[in-house]
Amino acid sequence: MAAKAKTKQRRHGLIDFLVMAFKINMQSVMEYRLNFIILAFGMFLNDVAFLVFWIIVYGKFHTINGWGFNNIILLQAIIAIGWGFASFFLGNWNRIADIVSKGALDYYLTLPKPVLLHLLVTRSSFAGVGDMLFGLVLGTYALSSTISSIPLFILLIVLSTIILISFGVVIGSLIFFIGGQGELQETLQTSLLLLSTYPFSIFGGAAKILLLIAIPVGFITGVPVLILNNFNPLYLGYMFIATAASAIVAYAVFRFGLRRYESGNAINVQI
Amino acid sequence: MNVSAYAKYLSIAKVEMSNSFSSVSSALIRNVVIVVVLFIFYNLWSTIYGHSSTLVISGFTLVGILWYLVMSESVVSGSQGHTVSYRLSDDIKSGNIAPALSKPYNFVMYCFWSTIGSAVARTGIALVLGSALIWFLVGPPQISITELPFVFVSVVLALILQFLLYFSISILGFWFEDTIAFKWITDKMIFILGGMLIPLSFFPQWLQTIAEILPYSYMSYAPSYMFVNFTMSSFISTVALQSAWIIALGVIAFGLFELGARRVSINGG
Repeated sequence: MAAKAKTKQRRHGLIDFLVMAFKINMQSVMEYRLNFIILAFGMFLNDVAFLVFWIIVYGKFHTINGWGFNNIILLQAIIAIGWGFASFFLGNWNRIADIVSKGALDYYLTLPKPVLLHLLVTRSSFAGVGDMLFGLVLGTYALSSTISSIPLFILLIVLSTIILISFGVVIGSLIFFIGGQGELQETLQTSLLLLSTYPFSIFGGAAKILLLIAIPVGFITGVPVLILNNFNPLYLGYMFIATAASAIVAYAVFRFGLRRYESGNAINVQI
Repeated sequence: MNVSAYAKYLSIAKVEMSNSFSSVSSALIRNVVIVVVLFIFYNLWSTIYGHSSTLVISGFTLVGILWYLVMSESVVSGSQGHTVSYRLSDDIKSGNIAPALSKPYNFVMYCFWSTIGSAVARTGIALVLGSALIWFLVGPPQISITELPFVFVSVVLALILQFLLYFSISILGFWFEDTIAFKWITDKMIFILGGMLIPLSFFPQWLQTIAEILPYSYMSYAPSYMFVNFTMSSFISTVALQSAWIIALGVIAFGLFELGARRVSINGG
């Protein structure tokens, strides 16, 4: 009974902590309002540019190995919302290696909060809002004729975003084992983004297997688009398995890597 | 400018160039992205062309478009990243620009030579890696060795044009808190209207006309098209237009810098 109460209290404490982190990030938005608007709007336009590329391609070729323009819209919506969410609410998800290499992890180790969660939520990228808005606009357009698919769309975005963040944590945690300056995380993350923004149907054979197992790009955009096009409970089951596996691997790699972390005695001030 | 001044700036370019090669592992890691991009494009365009080596679409065969993309991606990726002009807006924001302005060199020339030094090196590394992949996948490019020096001239002019554009954007840091959003938009202008992602001949006619008028196409499309479809007349007209844009953007870059530098106040040393 006492243990149950303690777990409940801890859960409440965690939720309060996440709410507080969100409030602090929002205060930062309010403090730099103009900067926030410029970055969010700039990212929105940035995403539109890639859409122009696909408009040109699909203006010339109406389908690419079975993938029509609507599939590309869905794909862009899923990755934009996921990437935007991760960047705005868990802004350090793509900076773990950089933080570790600078010895700035010490700050998180000294506080009585879950290290990984605390690390992820203490930064917010304003540009993420631009990504989310772009994704929402595209998602609304793509699903306007099939409103009943919206709950499935939301579920798939949640699963896809967990896989995306998990991948970020895994490649960020590689620095515990191989060292370096964090450039590997940036490179791999950019590669992941690139791979997940092209039609999954262009890849075949070994590349397709690689993109489903080794680098779970297929589960970030490819499989969700397939499910939205033609619902298959088996594929949805694979999505849940891939999500659970990604999250467990990410947590385990980070925890295992943390044991190898050596403090640089760097003094960091968290503002 | 006298001879010793040239030697000073050439030394700056050489230092930046050697910095780009200083860590082989870092250089390779940075260029993983270009290999991934070209691998994606190989899959995309092979699917579109139905793996046919003879089909011609908008003036390009499959081999032609893939070698076009090797060049267009390398020329743009070479100028991206941690070049001086890219860091400049941060220095303006933090105030670090003040001591740099008081040093015994022309600040714009310093930025120019250091950027060109690293950009030439980075473009070279990207070209080697990208060429290795595409050569392995589809075979060699259709260009003779004697034509390569002409393409090299156009590539260098494209890098100079990109420097002037990004330098001007960075200088906006004198007036704006953060210039990163302007950089994103400029990047994407080069990606799309510059023909980095897709040749201009695939555009609808009206968009192609607009893209050809703007300077972005001379930063990526022009040297890349020349690489896969070389003629002496296209070389002369491309280089002439690239030079004209260099003069125009140069005037804007220097003008903006002169205006911005007036806002810097240096107190003591």
